[in-house]
Amino acid sequence: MDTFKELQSIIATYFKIESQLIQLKTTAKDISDWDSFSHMDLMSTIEKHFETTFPFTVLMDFSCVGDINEYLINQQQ
Amino acid sequence: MLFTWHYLLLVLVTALVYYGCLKKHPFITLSTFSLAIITFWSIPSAIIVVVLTTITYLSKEKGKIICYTTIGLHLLALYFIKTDLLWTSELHDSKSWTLLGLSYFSLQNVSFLLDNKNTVKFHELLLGNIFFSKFIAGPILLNKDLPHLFNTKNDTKELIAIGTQRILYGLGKKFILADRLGIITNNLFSAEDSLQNLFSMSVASALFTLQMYLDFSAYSDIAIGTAKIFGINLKENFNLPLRSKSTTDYWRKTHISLIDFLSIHVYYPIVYQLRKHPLLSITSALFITFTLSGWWHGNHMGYLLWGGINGSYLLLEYLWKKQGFPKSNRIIGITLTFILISASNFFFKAKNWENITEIGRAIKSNPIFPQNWMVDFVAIIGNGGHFIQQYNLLETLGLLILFLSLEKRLEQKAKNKQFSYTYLVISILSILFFGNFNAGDEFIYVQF
Repeated sequence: MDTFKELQSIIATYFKIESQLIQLKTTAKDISDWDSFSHMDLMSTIEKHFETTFPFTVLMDFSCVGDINEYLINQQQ
Repeated sequence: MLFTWHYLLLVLVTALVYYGCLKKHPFITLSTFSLAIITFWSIPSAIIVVVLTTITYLSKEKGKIICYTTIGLHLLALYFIKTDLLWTSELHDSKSWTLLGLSYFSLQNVSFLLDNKNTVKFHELLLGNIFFSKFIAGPILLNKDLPHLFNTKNDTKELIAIGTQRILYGLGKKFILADRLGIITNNLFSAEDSLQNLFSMSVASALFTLQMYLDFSAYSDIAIGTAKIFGINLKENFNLPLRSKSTTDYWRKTHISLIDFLSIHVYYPIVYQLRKHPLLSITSALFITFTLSGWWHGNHMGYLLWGGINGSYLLLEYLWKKQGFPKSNRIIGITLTFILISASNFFFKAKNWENITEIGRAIKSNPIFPQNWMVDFVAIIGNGGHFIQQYNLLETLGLLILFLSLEKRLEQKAKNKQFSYTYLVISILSILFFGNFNAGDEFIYVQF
């Protein structure tokens, strides 16, 4: 499975929504339950799955799913 | 008050000079204008904003220790101003020490120092700090907002249309509604002890919630509208908060610029550090963030309680959601949110522990409802018992209901990039006919 598919699946499972709703351009504003409470929890879930740690400054710069995806791909290379 | 007809004249003259001959150098021109205006308002404020901005800018390059020392300097200045050491109750007495805008530009400087990206130039930071329409009460700009101050797709005519209509919208909210409500809430909160009961204080807190929103959002409209005339984009500070379905939703839509600052620089760093313990991280982050938000308004027990209570609301909503309990329907959600926010605003308005306990004692010893409705309640909120005063009261309530039902549409009109002459004429006539120009109230958030 490629990185985006995994990411899509994690986010969709976390918010209990269809995977198709998660695209590279998707932002927190597009998902009603993606708020300041769930944000860090979701990031922790992604970190655990990909066995990585997002530095705080990087994490605060994520503006859409594509940014997370790009960071994860760069980490894997 | 700082925002009177003199202010409008000032904007008009500045705009004419700016577009007439000085538009080629927007940063220099607008910084000079703004500094001259601040100097006219308060000389110490002008000196301090320039000194602190310069120190802030120079500190960024000098490494972490200097950076954090400068942040400490800003926090110390905020501490002094919030504890009344440099502050006088006579806000605009030019003979006394008055420090305007420090609560706002200090946070902008802190945001500049904390943000790792170093793309902001000195003139951007300076103009972001001193631009005259936002200097006294925001909106607060974050470091990331500063490079985009002049990014606008609108031509001059559109800028002037949006700006003018937005200013009129703010003036309408202030003079037609907020200042009228101010008379009612002041009467209720300052009534004799024997006339303060649970019912009257609940009404007072609810009306104060409306007054505070209308007053502060009016200020923001005028600040944003003025900036727009000069091609400057200021971030929105409100997004129809009275339509919020939960207190969490409410705090996403009210005083957005302060909440953004606190979220990025306080809430998220705490949650990040403690993210292995979700409940602990959210609980501590919420309480620290909201207590700081309360303290930012002033070093008074009422503000701290107000912050703590709002933090508790958000925590309860988080736990409710986490347990998977159902969401309430829209009407119930909006009503409950308004009641909860109004209850917390009682502490905000009461401000001091002494006032809180005094009103608390009165509520405890008096019956829940007024004994004589006309004398003990209607005459107080009507500012007197005469027929004309009763008529004024009905007029205020009627205008308030009309505004709240049309608010979304009016806001869209105010942001329209085309001049609407119908909107202009109706706005000006409404302000002249229904505006209350006798109250002389400052904008509430000018004092913070």
